[in-house]
Amino acid sequence: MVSELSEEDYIDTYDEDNGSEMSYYESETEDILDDPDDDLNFEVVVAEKDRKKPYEVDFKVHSIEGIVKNQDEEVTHVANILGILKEHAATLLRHFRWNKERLIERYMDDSHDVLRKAGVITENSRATRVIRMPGFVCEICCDDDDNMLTLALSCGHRFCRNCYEHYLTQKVKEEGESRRIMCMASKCNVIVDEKTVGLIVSPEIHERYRRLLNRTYVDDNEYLRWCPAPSCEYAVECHVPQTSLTSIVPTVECACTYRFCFGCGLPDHQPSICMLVKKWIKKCEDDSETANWISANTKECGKCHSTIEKNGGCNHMTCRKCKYEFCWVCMGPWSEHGTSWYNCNRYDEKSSQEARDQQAKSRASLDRYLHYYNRFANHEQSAKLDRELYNKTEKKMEEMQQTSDLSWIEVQFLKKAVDILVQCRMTLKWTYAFAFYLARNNETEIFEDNQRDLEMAVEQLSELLEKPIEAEKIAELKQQVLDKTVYVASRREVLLEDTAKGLLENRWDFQVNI
Amino acid sequence: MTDTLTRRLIKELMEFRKDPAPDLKDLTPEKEDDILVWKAILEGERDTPYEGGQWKLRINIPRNYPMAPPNIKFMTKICHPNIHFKSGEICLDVLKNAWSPAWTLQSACIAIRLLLSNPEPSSPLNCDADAETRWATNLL
Ligand SMILES: [Zn+2]
Ligand SMILES: [Zn+2]
Ligand SMILES: [Zn+2]
Ligand SMILES: [Zn+2]
Repeated sequence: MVSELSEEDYIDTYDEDNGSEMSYYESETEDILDDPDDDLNFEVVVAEKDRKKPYEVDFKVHSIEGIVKNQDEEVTHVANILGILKEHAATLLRHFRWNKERLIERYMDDSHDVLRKAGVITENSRATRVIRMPGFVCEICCDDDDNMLTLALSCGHRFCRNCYEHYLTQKVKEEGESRRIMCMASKCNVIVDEKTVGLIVSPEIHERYRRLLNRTYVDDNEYLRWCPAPSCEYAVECHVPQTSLTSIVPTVECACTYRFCFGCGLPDHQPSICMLVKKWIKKCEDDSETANWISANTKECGKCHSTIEKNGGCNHMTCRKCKYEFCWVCMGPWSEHGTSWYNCNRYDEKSSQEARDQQAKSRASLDRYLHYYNRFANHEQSAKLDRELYNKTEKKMEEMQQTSDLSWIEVQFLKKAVDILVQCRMTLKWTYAFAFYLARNNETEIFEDNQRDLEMAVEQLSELLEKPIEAEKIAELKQQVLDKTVYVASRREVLLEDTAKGLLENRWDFQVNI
Repeated sequence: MTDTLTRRLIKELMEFRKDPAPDLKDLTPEKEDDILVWKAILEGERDTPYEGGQWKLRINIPRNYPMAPPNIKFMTKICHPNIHFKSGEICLDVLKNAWSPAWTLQSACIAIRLLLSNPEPSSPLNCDADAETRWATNLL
């Protein structure tokens, strides 16, 4: 009964929203294309879809080969501009953390100072050569064999080849060092360049050295970041500077499909900005003792007090014993959610004022925190349980193929729905951290409305996905899931668009300094 | 490598005996049959709170010396912000990442003696001694 009623509800709002979105697109396209035609033609819609959304950023995914090529191009470019050897250009670039512009500017200003600080000597220097030098005594191993091979970097400090090989091997293998390996003489800061390293060490150590250098190329470069997914070897390039992180949440997606924040490297945390995420995580860690009992996986039935364990992502709970139906988040009876669906996302400061007045002030702020934490943790927990839903979904997809005439391709909509569901829970989760730090102003209500709409849609989809399959109703279920998936995705877009725009326009007031 | 290492250590010993640094009273292998464990005796610098003191150091030399730094510890108890009061461990950059194979046991000991009169309050190992130093500075 409940679900049928809500279905109508949702179709209503969906049409409305769709209508308003269309008109929004229209006015935009008119500005751009100067097209007086009222009808949206297909081409325009495609063009709109390709356009970057306000919460999206440009980025590029690079393979190791691409990284090596990029490095080489930068080095060649700088070597040509400054008229120096490639190995020296590479050392300079590493010293300047691959900030080419700054290097060239400083070099033009005072090349001697730049070279000295970076540990490069270019004056009448040829590439390092390994030579025999009769009568030479190596200061390190005290060997004086006339056949001994020796070498000196451009600083002129000469040692035997054997010592250099031991030294470089120790640096690379034991200390994981690559770009800051200096001359063996004490207090000499001349860098052992790439070419010299290649001349001395074994192929195995050289390979390791190259890998370490590539690693520092990405680590040192402000606009590059390794994908944090385990054993993924791609790096992502994104040109959002650290200084913009208070107004942009640069979410990127690696070629391996892992989504993460380019700003801080944590998993996708839209719509919260990095600095709020950091604060929130810290707060949750500090308060974990208090919060532990809240995030526990069991709750008592509000009627018969038997223990109920949450075993799926859906918040609509039914007590096995007394059949009482309630909402997992607010513990209220589910029937009251019938028309308003999901009204427990809002921490209504007015209506709870009275209750809070009686309590100590610290208790009130704890309550406020717990309110948001509870919802944050709930989505985190649900997202984890939704992973189990993937397994169940796979079984369901097989079942569908057997009991209906749907092909493998035709049942993929289920997996897609779970993908969207998990992503939306991720977004919802972070809306609560965002809301916790949000100071109340005229804009807050719009945010909370968007949050509630998304929350409601997500719970509806979650419930649909947990329904058992009835052979005769598969077509109907498929249509419902398809519709709901599209709707949920659109609600997420609306919320992210509004928060991202608000950040850029400085519309949000936060309770903390950012 | 062992031959090279022995040759190098013998040369270091000879050089110390020929031309010892002023406040380094002794630098020699502790036992006859093990060239990888040395001892050193430092004397406190004049006009410092350490004047008149004597400190024994134990030096453990790794197999890959001098590519890797020696491990040096205070055997005599000392109260200093960069030296661990209980273990005698020393917090000094040249004994860690700033080590160069051209350094010697003697030059490392001299660097440690310099540390005695010039503590590095920014990298304290011994929190209590550090607090005392700051307290003493406040008094001055
Ligand atoms: Zn040198
Ligand atoms: Zn040598
Ligand atoms: Zn990846
Ligand atoms: Zn971030």
